Amino acid sequence: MNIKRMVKYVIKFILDSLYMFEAAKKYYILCKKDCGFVKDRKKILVSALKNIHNIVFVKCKAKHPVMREGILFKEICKKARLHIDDNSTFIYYPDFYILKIMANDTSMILGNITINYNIVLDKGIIALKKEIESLPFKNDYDNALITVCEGIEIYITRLISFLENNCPKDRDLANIIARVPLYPAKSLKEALQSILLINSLIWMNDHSLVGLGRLDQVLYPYYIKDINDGILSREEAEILISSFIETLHKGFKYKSNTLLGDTGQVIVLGGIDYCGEQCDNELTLIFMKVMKKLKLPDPKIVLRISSKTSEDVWREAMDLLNEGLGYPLFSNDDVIIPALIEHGYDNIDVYNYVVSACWEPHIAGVSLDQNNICILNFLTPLQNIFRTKETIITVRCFDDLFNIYLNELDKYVINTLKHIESIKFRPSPLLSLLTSCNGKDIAYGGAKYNNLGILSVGISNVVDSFLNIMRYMERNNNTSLMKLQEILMNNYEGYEDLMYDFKMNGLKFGNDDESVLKITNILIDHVSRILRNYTNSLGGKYKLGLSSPAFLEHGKQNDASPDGRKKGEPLGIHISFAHKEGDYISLFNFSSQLNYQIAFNGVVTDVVIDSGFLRRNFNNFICLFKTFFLKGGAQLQCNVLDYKTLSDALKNPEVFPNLIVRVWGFSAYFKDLPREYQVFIVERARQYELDTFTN
Amino acid sequence: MNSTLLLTDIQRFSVYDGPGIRTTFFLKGCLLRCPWCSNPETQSYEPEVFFLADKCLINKGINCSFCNPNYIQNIRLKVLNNFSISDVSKISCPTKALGVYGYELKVSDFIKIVKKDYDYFINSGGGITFSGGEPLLQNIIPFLKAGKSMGIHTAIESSLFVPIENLRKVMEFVDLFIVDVKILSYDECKKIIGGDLRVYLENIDLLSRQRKNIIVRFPMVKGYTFTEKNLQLLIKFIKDFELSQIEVFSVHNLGQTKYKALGKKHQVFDVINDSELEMLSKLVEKETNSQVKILKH
Repeated sequence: MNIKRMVKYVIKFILDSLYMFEAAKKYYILCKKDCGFVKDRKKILVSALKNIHNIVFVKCKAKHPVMREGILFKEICKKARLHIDDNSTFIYYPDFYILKIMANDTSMILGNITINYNIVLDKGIIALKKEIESLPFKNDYDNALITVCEGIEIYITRLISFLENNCPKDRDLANIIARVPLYPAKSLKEALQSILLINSLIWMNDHSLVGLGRLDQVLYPYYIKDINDGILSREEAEILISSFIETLHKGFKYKSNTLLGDTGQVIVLGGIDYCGEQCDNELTLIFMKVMKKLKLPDPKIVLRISSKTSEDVWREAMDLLNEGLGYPLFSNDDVIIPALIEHGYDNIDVYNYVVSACWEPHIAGVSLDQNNICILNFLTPLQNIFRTKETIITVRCFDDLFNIYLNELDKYVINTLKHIESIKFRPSPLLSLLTSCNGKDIAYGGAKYNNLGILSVGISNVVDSFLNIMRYMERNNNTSLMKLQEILMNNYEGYEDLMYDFKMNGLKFGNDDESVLKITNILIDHVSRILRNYTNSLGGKYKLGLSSPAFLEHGKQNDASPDGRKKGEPLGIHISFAHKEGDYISLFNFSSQLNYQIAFNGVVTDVVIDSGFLRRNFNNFICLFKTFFLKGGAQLQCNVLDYKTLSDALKNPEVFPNLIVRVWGFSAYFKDLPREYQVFIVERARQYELDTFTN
Repeated sequence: MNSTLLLTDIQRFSVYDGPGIRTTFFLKGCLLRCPWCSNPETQSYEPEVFFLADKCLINKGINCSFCNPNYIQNIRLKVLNNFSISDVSKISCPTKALGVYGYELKVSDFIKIVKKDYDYFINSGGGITFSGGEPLLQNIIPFLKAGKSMGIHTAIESSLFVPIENLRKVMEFVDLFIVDVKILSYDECKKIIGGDLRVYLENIDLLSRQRKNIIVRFPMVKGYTFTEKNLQLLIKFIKDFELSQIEVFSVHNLGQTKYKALGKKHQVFDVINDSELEMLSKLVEKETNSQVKILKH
């Protein structure tokens, strides 16, 4: 073990002194992605050897981190490989194999971010550059921004001559590139191309989980102008948007973050404006229609709905959902917007919220907000209690235990915050340019909002645990919990009866019963109250969410818990029943009464729906969803599945290459998923099938 | 009068028993004994013990401290006839292998349940449905009245083999009658399902004359209801009573586990395929003025 560590240390030291650590780390991850996130080292090595010729190095030895990032970006623009597929409508080639030679930097690269493309579409890069150049005094930061603009100009010049050499007949595309993104876009096609180019540069600058924003709103002025000018028909617009989506799908593998499909490429549609009016437009429908035809897992749609969403939009959305692609995810403006205002976001900004990567509300173009900075596990403090005999022996009644838990939760949350405080972000003059930063880099607090978002996992397991312990203590006349502790430590061995009782009997998280709601809201309130007392290192606040990607990973670390979960088993996913699935109305009633005004950083109610059942009860499902949101539901995500197909696919995933499922907050091909995720999804589908068809 | 109901189950987001999103209450007790019945637990008027050996931990050789000590030995020896309702209802079986079908519901609890789902009913044009078993054999009037006073749509799913008085009393509180039509010849009806067809026809005549909203539901069972002769009678029946909304469905074998749980024998039926359902639906639409909907679970 020690020798292994030594070797690692020596390798790191050598790489560090050659300024190659960053490059090596990125190349390893790229090769892993190339192999579909397998853990097989041999495969990764083969990919590493195979792809060596693709590597493009860029280097900078500047010490000032902001300037260094500016120069590195310009180098990327100079050296990135260019490519265009035959008959492409757009040119788009994020070169993922660019490796940076630079001093080792432990700061965190910004990700989970969406810029406001309006800035580029309205002004163009040249005008942005001129604004900075006209400043009377320029500091290093301003110079870095100018360097970024120069980089983009260089990239465009390279693209134009590339197009002239490679597609001499396609003058149209070369003309468009000559205009955007340097100058304002004048048509829908120009706007789409402009977005694509900027998007590819963000990817090449190593940012992860790059969102697209409210594209129906951003693009509408260009669409309607083209229509009015008679240069575009609705059908032609559909074709353009279809190629745009297909273009964005390129690089799917390399854009994925931790699993194939986890790209963060979210297109937000719909939503209300600052007057409270629903601002869906023709593009809202066109995007959904196009996605329905393309049947791609990525990019994906988040639909902002409200009580004013039209019937047309609902029908198109449900039609799309019915395709079983795992989207749209619904986000309720009537709940999310007041929560954002309550949290301190300005009225003028909140109406423009998008989501980071999956579901966390994020205001595009004005915020640094890193909404997935860490994950709280509600079960861990309870586990700590059950691991300490001295504590358990003092518990005399349920209230004792609950109070000890809240104290333990305090400590746990505060510890987590301490860890976050030490995180430094890596400067990004590119994002700073596109995020209207004032005077300093986005990573140093230059954006208007600098809040950090915390996700959570295990709340359903901990609520179920408390409800069970309450019954357990009642049944055993308030005996001590020593016996239970022993049972948990032994992973329910010899006590399967108790395990099933904990899993199946009594009230559960997700039941619309007042006692369940009360415990859940106490926990939410408790954590957000702690968070409210803290300010992060950039002066922003902390936000709490109830969704998290980590239900499998964290589950592996947790001991057996009093919700009937054995050691290592998955935790509950988002807001849903932890063990026994079913009963939509109970879950929806429960969920719609949670306190989202203090917890809104990703609050997804997650259900599985049998595809045939949805098809046959289309209108009832629309009513079900609408009522859920009218009653206060915040966000909803559905896996529309057919259990039979899924269980067949589990036996032989490759036979179903096009089967798409929703994972924690993204859609993916079933065959691409690790086995444990496949099994998890099939098991949920089985439970829903049982519940739907037993009566 | 007793204002509690004996139920076997409450199903929320019920979408098959009337329009919109509904909550269906399954009442216990039925006069008929249809061989294809998929809810055998609703036949008897009394609470019944169920036991599913497959789910039972003891039966699998695993200790279970939740069970009545007297039962443990019997389960091990597979002697399963001494369960008593009062003892079983004290047990909270961890795997739901042992339990009681049948529990009481008071009007006050009924109102609480309905209130929770009220918004879903109103927004979808749904409401509450009393099914079973035979809902017209229990005193559902206080429940119907409570529902009506909240402005909720009410439906009853009945076989109509009940005294006409029972029907008359509830009529003003019911918005929709979902009525089964099974076997339409007197002898076979008596012989196979144990029902007096005259009672049924009198009742349907009453509903039809009062211009009540009626959906007729026809379970297709090969050799019983799905016969040449019965189909001719069905068409005549639809014409005679000027019925316009017909629902047909194939009998299914999903009730199998419940038969097993009650220690009753389950008869397996051939499931009717889609083309046969289509055929029947087209035939009925052609011969009558009704609209036929195929129900699929």
